[in-house]
Parts: sequence; C-alpha cells; structure tokens
Amino acid sequence: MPKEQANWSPYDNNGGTCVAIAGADYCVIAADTRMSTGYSILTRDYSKICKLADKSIMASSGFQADVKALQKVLASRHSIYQHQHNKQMSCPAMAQLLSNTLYYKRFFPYYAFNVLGGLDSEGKGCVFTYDAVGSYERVGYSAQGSGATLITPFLDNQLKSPSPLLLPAKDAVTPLSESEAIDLVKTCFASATERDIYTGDKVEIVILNGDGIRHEYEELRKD
Amino acid sequence: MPTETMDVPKTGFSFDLCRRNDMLTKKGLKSPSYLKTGTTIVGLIFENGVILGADTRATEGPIVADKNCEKIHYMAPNIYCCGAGTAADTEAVTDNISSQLKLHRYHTGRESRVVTALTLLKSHLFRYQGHVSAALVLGGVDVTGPHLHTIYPHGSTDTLPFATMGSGSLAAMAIFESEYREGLTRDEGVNLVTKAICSGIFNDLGSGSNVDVCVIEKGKKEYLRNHLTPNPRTYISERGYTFSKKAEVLLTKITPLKELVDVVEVGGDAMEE
Amino acid sequence: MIPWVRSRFLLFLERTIHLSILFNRIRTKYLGWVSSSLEQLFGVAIAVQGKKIKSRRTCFRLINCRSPPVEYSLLKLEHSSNALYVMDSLLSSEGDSQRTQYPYVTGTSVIGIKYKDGILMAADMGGSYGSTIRYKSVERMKQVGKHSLLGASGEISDFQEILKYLDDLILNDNMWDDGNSLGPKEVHNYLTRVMYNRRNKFDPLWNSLIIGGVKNGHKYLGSVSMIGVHYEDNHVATGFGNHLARPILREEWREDLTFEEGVKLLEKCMRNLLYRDRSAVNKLQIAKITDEGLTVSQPYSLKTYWNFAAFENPTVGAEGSW
Repeated sequence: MPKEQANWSPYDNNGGTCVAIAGADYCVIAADTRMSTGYSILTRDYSKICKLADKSIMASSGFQADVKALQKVLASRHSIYQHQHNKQMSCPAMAQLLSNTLYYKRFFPYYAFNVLGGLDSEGKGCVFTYDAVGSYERVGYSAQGSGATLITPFLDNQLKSPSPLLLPAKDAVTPLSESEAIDLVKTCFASATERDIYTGDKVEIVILNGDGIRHEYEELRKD
Repeated sequence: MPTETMDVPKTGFSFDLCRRNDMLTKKGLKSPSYLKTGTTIVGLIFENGVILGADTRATEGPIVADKNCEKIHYMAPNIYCCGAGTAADTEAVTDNISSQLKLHRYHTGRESRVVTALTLLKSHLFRYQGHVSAALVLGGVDVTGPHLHTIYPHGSTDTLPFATMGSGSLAAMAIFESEYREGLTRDEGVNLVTKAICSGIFNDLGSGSNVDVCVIEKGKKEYLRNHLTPNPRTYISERGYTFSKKAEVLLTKITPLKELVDVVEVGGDAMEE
Repeated sequence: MIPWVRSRFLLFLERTIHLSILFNRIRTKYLGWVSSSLEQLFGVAIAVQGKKIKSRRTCFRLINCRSPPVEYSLLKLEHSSNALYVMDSLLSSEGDSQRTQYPYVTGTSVIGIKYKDGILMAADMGGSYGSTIRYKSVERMKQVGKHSLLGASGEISDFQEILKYLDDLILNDNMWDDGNSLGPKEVHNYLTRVMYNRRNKFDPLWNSLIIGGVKNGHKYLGSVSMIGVHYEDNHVATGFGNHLARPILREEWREDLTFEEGVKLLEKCMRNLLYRDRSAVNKLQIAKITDEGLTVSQPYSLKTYWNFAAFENPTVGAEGSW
C-alpha cells in the first residue's frame, strides 16, 4: 500500500466576496468573479450571482459545489412554486425559503455565504444576509465572503448611523441614489482587492429597479 | 553582601519560555501568527553575472500586510539574497550573515565569496532544524565567477543555472523551464526574470504587486527597485469619500493635571547647549 | 410513529451520530450509554464492526481488540421481528471501501484548451502506485457519446467506473431514438452531479476530470474536481497542471489558435510538467475533438534538454558548496 496517505476534505473554500445594497427603489447586488482554491486561481471569470426569481438575486461565496447545489435546489423549488401559484416568488418569501433550505442541512451544512437582494412587494429595495446554516436578517446593506471583514466597516462608516443608542434608527434602506450606490460598490471591491488575496479579477454588478435588471462590470487587480 | 548585577544576555536565541509555551499549546492556546511572505523569488545566471528578482507582496493569512515590501536583501556589495518564508526569519538571517561577511572582509581584506555566504547560511539554518523558516535564493559574483544557489529552511542547498522559490515558484519555474538558455544578454535576462516574477504575481495568490530586480555583474551591481509596477488600483471614485466623525460628544470634562501633582520646574533647557 | 416520519428521523439521527463520532464529540466511554438510550427511545443502536454495543464493557471490548480504523454503524432494531440489519451508513461505507481513503493507481495532470476548430487535450500515460510509476500505457482520455472527450487524473479504477456510468447514460439517451444526443455541456453537468453526490456520501470518486467537446459548432471545455467543484474556461488543467501549465496557458492562449499552434502549446506545457512533476512520464497522447469527430494520437515522446553546463558540473568554481 502506498505509504503517503492521501487525505480529503468534503469542503473547500473557493473564496470571493459578495455585497448588496438596498435603496428606496433599487437594489444593487455585486460579487467578484475570481474562483480560487488554496493559493491558485481556478478561473478569473466565474459568476457568483444567480437570479432566483424576477425580483430576487442571490450572490454567494464559499464552497462552489455547495453553492451550485443550493442554487439548483432553489431553482427547482421556485419552478414548483410557479406551477402551484402561477406567479414569481417575492423576495421576502425567497429569503425565508433560502433560510429553510440552509437549515435543512444543519448537520452537514452548505458551506455557502449568501446575500439575497431584491425588491419587495412595494418595490422597495431589500437585502437579506445569511450565515451558512440559515440564520438571516433583513438589512439595508451587507457584505459576505472573504473580503467581508474589510468591506463591512467601510459600509458601516458610510451608511450607518453611528449608534442606535444615540440616534433613532434610520429607514431599513440606504439614503444613496442608485449611481452613488454603484460607485460605492466599485470602491468597496477595488479596496478589498488591494488587501484580500481571494478577491479580484473583475466585479459583476447587478442592478435591480422598477425598469428591470441591468448588469455592469468593472475590472479589478489580477494579482 | 550580594552586588546587584544585570545578567548580560548570551548570544543567540532565547529558549527560556519554550517549555512554558509548549505547555500552553498543549492546553489549547493558539500561538500568534507570523508575517509570511507568500512569495515568488527567482534568480538566473546570464552571460556576465547573476540576476535576482522578487515580487513585493507580504501576506498574513488571506490579508495583504504589505503591498510593497523588499525581498531582495543585501549580503555583501557583490552578493544579494532573496528571501521567502517568515519575514522576520529572512530579514534576521540575512542581516546576521551579512554582518559576519563584513567582519570577515575586515579580517581578510578581500571580497566576500558566494560559497562563504552559502555555507554560513546553511549551517545556521541546519542548526535550527527548519525552525528558522527562511527559503532563500542566493546570488552573487566573486573572483570565481557568477554563482546562484537555493537554500531550503532545513539547510539543504542547490547550485543551479536558474532557480525559483516561494509559493509562486511553480508559476515562475514554468517560465524558466520553457524559456531559459545559456548566455542570455543582460536585457534578455532582466526581461526573463521580470516575466517569471509576473507569472508568480498573476498566478499565485501569495504573490503580488510589483517586480524588484537586482543585476549583479563583475564589480558592478544594479538594484532596480519596482522595476515594473503592473498592478495599479483599478477604480477611484470621482466623488471622493468623507469619513465624518459621526459620534456625538456627550460630555466634556478636562482635568488639569498640574493641580494634582507637584511639578518642579528645573531652570534652563538641558537639551539646548 | 408514522413510518415516513420515522425513517426521516432515523436518517437525521444517523447523520448526527456519525458526524459526532467523526468529530470526536462523543467519547468512547459514553458510547455504551448513548447506544442503550437510543435503543430505548428510538429502537436503534450503535454498532462497532457490525456488532451492537450493549454496555460500556462491550463497547470497550469491541473497540480495544481492534486496531483502528474502527467501523461504526447504526443498527435499526425492527419492531416486528428480532432481525437486525445494518444500515448502510456514512462511516461503514467508508470502512468498506479502503479506496475512498487511499487512492491506489493514479494518473497525473491532464490539460485541455480550446482552439480554432475545437478542443485539444493532452495527458501522459503513466499510472502511479504511490510514488512508483507502476504502469506506462494508461489511456486517460476517452470519447463520451458523439461530441465529447473526457480526460481524467487521479484514481484509474474510479475513472473506469465513471466511463461505465457514462456508457449507461449514453445508451439510455440513444434509446430515445429521437435524433438528439447529449453534448459536452450535458455530460459535464452529469459528471458534476455524480462527483458531488459521491462526496455527499463521503465516498468520493478520486478524480479530477476535464470534459471537452464540440456540438453544433459550439466549443465547450470544463472541469470537475473530486468534491464537485466545477467551472468552464478557455483552458483547464488538473493537479500539477494548475500550477505549472496554466501560467503558460494564461500567457499564450488565443481564441484563434491553429491546430499546429495548439499542439505546440500543449507540448510546451507537457514538457514543463515532465521536468517538474515527479509522477509525469515522457509518453503522452494528444486528443483532438471537432465537429468532424475525435482523434487520439499514438503515444509519443517529447524532446528534452539536460545539457546546461551548470547541470554537468554544478560546483565548478564553488568548491565547498556541496
């Protein structure tokens, strides 16, 4: 028998960062397109963003195979929903479904860090942020994945009131205009790429508003 | 009556707390992480000398700790050394050997030889059994000609026409293996080294930012710091950003210290003479 | 209990217990207690090497008289009869097949690129048994269906098993007789699910695969790993190829590569692997797939160069450098 013991782990971390920002009448969802394992880049052009329904878009980083499995489960659940209700699932409903789907695998979790962005029934932007086993919360903005530790404090500084104890809590959505939010997202990713080795190559930005869905791309550092 | 004396520390490392630390580790304490230079470093021999190259990224886990650090260390006027591994170890070990080489030059009045540096480095690393984690590419030109060596953390060495080390060594070696030949000109050599480092920068996540190059020829050396800067920031907001101090000041109370302590004013300023 | 709920609950219980044992959450000395409690509550018991743990003492006896690895499994005690039967479980299946834990005969990197008219793929023919190169004529690239080419690195027997799955898949697809056939994208997706499902069973197929193909003029090139990580790109490589070949491919690959240029590029990568990957051998094949069909070349060798002066006498002028 070969002496060297080959070992394997059911999980891998394929890196990547996801950000979502909700505004009064829009939602911006963004993720970089680098997929890596260890110190090597697998591909520079892998989309981490998945359209789950007309008004729900999910960006996920973590273990790519789990993320893909999760996307497929949600897609099939959504197609059943459409057959039963003859309509698209709303973003808050999808958020609950995502939570349940994650918790279903509580003891063999999907290693996926998700942000779900979309428009609610009033057309207001909404962002839901998750942990790997389904705990979730509706927020005005969120960052997940390898660059989250770098981006979150910056977004907090730019978008959050300093303390809920000092000022009354603002509206759930951010006060930015759509173009300001896109600009902020680009800055976030350019900055995270400077300091996080797993973030880079390109950022894919999906903008959801009353008119529909729009994609934008911005090049990032490739080192 | 015992006189109070300060113990003069012995030379070398202090192992005083090793047993305590071992005990703490066994009890589950996590020892602090070190700054690692997940690195691409290379070297090659060209027609009349040696060229060394390095990237400039230093990492601490997944975070870039330094975007423009120096990994080509000075050993002697005719010898330089690229370091990969724990930053502190590469710096300390090259500084230490560099100092020994200088003393040796004072003794002998002759130019240092690359084998001397090599022997000192490998003996030091072997003595510490790999705990001094420095992986080095040593290059220089002495009376016997150009030399290039690699030194592994455990003290083994290699003598090569072209060499790569660090996490990006495979990416860089891919370039060398397909393009290196004997008798390269200076410019060809610099370009090949730059290309190999760039391969590390773009394919290895532990390496990044800029390219440093050092060309050593007989009686002449050129340190090309940031020879190439292929990774500028990609996006800068036109609006700019303000980081307002939003925290509200709830209370302001100033306690003057002078009233609480006796301040003895000494006439004249001792510093001004 | 309703049978459906019961079976679901047992599945949940089984996974929890196996994960707990796996991650040393349950100490051996408590296994007997846990087992008898489970028996009272749910009619299941933990078994070691197929034998039920009745008490702390039997537990120790069962475990101590065996050298690790110890196989744990969950026994379901049926109400209607006294018959015990062992459920196939995560850990016992891992114990049954040693191959899951150690690959035996393995192949090293495969690389694939898109070129002007289709896909080119290269792999050497070595089969390693640990660090011994045991076999020298292993074909690691095979045709799948009409439009696809599959290259594999890793455990050779698993690769041959995968080829069997694919034969079934293609046969079933042919039986529809609807003039339709599976393309490379479909095959890739199928393999992605096979690999991921096996990792979910903790019994992975020990391979990294590359799937290339052309269907209706559309080129496709993708890769799947042992645990189901997959992606598409213009050039892909497995194992060492990711470190040694892809830097070259990223530098030199173009959309409009001709066949000759493509082969030259692949040979450059394979030569690099030959120099630097200890399990690579100098006997390789190159496969080409286009809309016209598939051809796999005869095995051949690459020219190598070892005559650097520094290789012939490395320490000249540096005596003492060992």
